Amino acid sequence: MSAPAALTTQRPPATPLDARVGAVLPVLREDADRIDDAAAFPVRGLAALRESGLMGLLVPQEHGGLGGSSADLTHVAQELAGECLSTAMIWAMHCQQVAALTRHGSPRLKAHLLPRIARGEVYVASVTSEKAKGGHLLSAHSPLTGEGDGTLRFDRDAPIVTGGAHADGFLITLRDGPEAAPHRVTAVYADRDRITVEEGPDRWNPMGMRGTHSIPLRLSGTVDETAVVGRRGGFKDVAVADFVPAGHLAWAACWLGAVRGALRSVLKLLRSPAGRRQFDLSGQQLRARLARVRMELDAMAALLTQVTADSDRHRGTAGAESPPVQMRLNALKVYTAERSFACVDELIRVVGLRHGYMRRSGLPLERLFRDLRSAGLNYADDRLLAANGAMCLLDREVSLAD
Amino acid sequence: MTDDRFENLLRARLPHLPADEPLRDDADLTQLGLDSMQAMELLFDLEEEAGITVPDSAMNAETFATPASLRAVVDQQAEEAA
Repeated sequence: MSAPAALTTQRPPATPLDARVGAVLPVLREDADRIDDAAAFPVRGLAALRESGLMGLLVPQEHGGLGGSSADLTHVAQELAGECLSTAMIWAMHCQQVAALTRHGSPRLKAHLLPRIARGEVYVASVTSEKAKGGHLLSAHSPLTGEGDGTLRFDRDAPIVTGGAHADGFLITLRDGPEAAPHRVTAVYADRDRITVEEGPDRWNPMGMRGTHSIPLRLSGTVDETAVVGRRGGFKDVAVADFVPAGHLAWAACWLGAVRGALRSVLKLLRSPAGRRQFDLSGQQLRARLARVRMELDAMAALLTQVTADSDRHRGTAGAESPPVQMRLNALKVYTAERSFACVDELIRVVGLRHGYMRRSGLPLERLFRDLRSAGLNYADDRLLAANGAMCLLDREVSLAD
Repeated sequence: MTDDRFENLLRARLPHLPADEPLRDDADLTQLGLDSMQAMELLFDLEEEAGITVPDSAMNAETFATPASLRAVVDQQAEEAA
């Protein structure tokens, strides 16, 4: 009976982490359409995530967190994104900040902050974009100024902060001083209630990712030296070692998870009695389209697994900056951004206008099509491809990373 | 689903079963040529005929062992659907 046995879908046994995720998913499922309609922050979803312990996934166990790995990060991100991509991205970006804080925060900051993150009390937003420089991560215009007594003062406009109205703390990039060059970037952490946070007008009304509610903020106040994350002027090291890899891994996992959720919903329809009356499952074209989507999922998942291993292996070493490793990390982001969008497009083709193009058809394809349109624009693919192209020209041997 | 309809759908996926030979309830479907691709096609045929969706967990060797085991799964799903 070996042949029909091959049909069996083997699922790994549920883990304690899956139980935490399982407690959150119904809330995300229930709210996904509502937050998309209203372009509203997923307040209930975030509350469920706080309650679940998952806000502290990457916080080490000695600080009360779950001590999760990069593989845990990408696993959970996929699961969350299978229900609501906006909420998953909000969580993923929080985890990106936590990765940087955990590995580069001062002992005092970590002792003060990480247990609160683990308890779900602190949701951390990032403040890295700036009017004068756009989204470029490794430069800053607004400076830190010294008070002479060791305190550091800042007064910074942030044109767009995801979750800015709801975050309990901020990881903020600043120019290291009034005389410092723009690439001398220093990151500091500040609790919301210890600084002045002025919210700008809420004009959030994007095509997709509407739950990632973002507003302009002006942040001003003082912190002490223990709030500096990484070295003074050395945010680049934090970025290369953790911030960028964690971001690319988490985003890619979210996009992959969203497409898995989309395909799941399509298969459920196709296999249902109602679906059988409408679709011919023996059709070669339908089968080929499904096969293509599945193939892309496997390719994205394989690349994600490989880059997760790269990131674990090279963290904190010179290897992390080697061109083959950098190119693959950037490729993960660009490839999953492009292919996840293409997959949803293909699934819309599979199910047609009624189930694919209509809002609230019962399938999430129309929402995901709008959501995933932003994947290539967010931390722009064009810029990553330009960087990869330059590195490619320098590697005449075409040595792929191990 | 009638017994005749069930048997006809099944027979169409069993290349090693001669047309004039009766199909016993406890026949070994693999021996009669039901490979994994044919088992999938058969499942789709039965789902469409009976207006059911067989859960992934039932898609295993036991389900496709004999006509009787397969019929039991189909009937159970039809009962749940009704």
